[in-house]
Amino acid sequence: MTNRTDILLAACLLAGLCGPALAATVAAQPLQVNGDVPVRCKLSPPAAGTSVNTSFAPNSNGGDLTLTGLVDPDTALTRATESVIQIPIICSGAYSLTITSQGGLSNQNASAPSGGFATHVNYLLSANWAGATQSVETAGSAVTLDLSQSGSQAGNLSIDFSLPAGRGPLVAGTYTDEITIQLNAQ
Amino acid sequence: MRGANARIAVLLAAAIAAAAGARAQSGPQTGQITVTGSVDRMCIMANPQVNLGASTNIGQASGGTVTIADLSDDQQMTTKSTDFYVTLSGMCNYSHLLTISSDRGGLWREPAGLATGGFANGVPYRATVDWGGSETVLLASAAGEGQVQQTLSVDQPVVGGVLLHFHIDQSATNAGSGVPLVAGNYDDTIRLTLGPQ
Amino acid sequence: MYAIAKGLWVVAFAGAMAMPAMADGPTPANIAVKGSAPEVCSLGGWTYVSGPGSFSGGTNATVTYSNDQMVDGLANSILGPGSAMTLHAPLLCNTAINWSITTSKGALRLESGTTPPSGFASQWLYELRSGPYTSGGTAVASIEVDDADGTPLSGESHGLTSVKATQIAYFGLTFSPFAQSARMLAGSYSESVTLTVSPSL
Repeated sequence: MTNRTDILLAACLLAGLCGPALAATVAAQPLQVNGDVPVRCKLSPPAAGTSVNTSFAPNSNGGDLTLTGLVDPDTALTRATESVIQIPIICSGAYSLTITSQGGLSNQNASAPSGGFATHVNYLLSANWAGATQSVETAGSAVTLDLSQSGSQAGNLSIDFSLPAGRGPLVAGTYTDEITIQLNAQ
Repeated sequence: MRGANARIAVLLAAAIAAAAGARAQSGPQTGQITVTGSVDRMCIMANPQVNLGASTNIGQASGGTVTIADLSDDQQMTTKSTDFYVTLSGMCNYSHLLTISSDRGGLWREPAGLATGGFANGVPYRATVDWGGSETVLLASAAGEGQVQQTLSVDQPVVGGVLLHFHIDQSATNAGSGVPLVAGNYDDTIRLTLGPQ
Repeated sequence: MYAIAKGLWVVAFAGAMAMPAMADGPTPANIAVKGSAPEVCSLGGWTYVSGPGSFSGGTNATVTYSNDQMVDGLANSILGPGSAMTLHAPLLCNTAINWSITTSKGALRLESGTTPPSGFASQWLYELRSGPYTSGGTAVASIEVDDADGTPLSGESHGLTSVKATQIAYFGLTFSPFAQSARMLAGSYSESVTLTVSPSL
């Protein structure tokens, strides 16, 4: 039947009516549909939560956390300071999420301590995300909290900056640090 | 030659008696031939031809596979509206049934797993089929993972094109409108069948 | 006296010969013989001489085309003159005859009678060649050629003289479908052809 099969296939090609085989009582065709959803992450603008001796102003880079009463003006010792900042985050798949501190609050004007006064003060950095909390006390050099996960997640990253009273005394000046949040789809 | 006539009469009688199983008759005789034949019930359906020009959010179509360009919206991370049209040349020479089925009941993530908090893992769609002057719609609602099907009864033979229109609503997910989709590859297989009622 | 009975050969010499005196010589004796044979025709069963179909014979025979002989894999018609079927039926007649051919439909047509929708056909037309032949295969008279037209054929009656009729050995019939470009409906198709032969009165 080879000749006849070839002739029929040629004829069906000409007529634009080729099936997977010659006619039977039943004819079937599958159509597979597929689509890809890539891993995407979105980080929304942060908002301030609990605030003790702080004020937070969000901006296009993230925000400015101002410590409004870092030290007691009489003793130059630190005052209890806390700020909680919420950042809505969503990732549709595996992601890396890190929070890096440069190592504590450092005096921009004087680098060397003198006469019992310090030019650096550490603080406690905590991050709560996906039901777990990680904390680190700064110690002078950069430190990172890794909150990466292998699956999709949506929620609020809660960053807690806290500094107890009585640290120092501190040399006068402006004390700064930079906390960097990095979110990347994997 | 009356003697000769008589002789012939005897010979003819003998010849007639010998004729194939028949009796000589003096009246009219009939013989009948019935010509018969049987044509099988047949359906054929050609490979699907996707009309890319009329499609929305389609990346490519080849063989029997259609690939959506981007199933999720870049900003909202929820489902992106999708449309495509397919023609399959077909023929049935008897009254028949067209069946359209979905293997999974929706465009599900592979593997589907469980939808984690705040995310969807299935995309509902509808497939409208026109054939032989009638239409039917298959709703693959992604309510649960499993086969769904729809049939169209066609009470006459048809030769023509099976036209399928595949549509996904913007923001449609199995976890509610606008819910973001979990990353992954989503798929389903639609099957078109022409067969007996 | 001589007595002759129809169908019997009886010769009887009865009584004295009351004849006038004749000169000497041989005496003539005439035997008049007479018999009669009835006008008869004998039509035998059909035999299948050539063609692709299957055959079941007899006085009423059936020839059957298979699906693969009628259509291709796309239900397109493939019947044509190459599908022709020829049948013979022995025919012996000793007198002038009349014969005629009739058909029941005028087409090899779908039995269900469904009207085909657009793009389909439900019948084949054909050519029918019929007539009587000698044992050597020569046509005894002109062959009847009918092109089916979809309506039943009520055939013309053909008369053959006794001289011609006695030459007949068989009646031959060829059914030859016309090729057509058409897609065929599924189902059973049929047509019947009837030959009627009778001695002329």
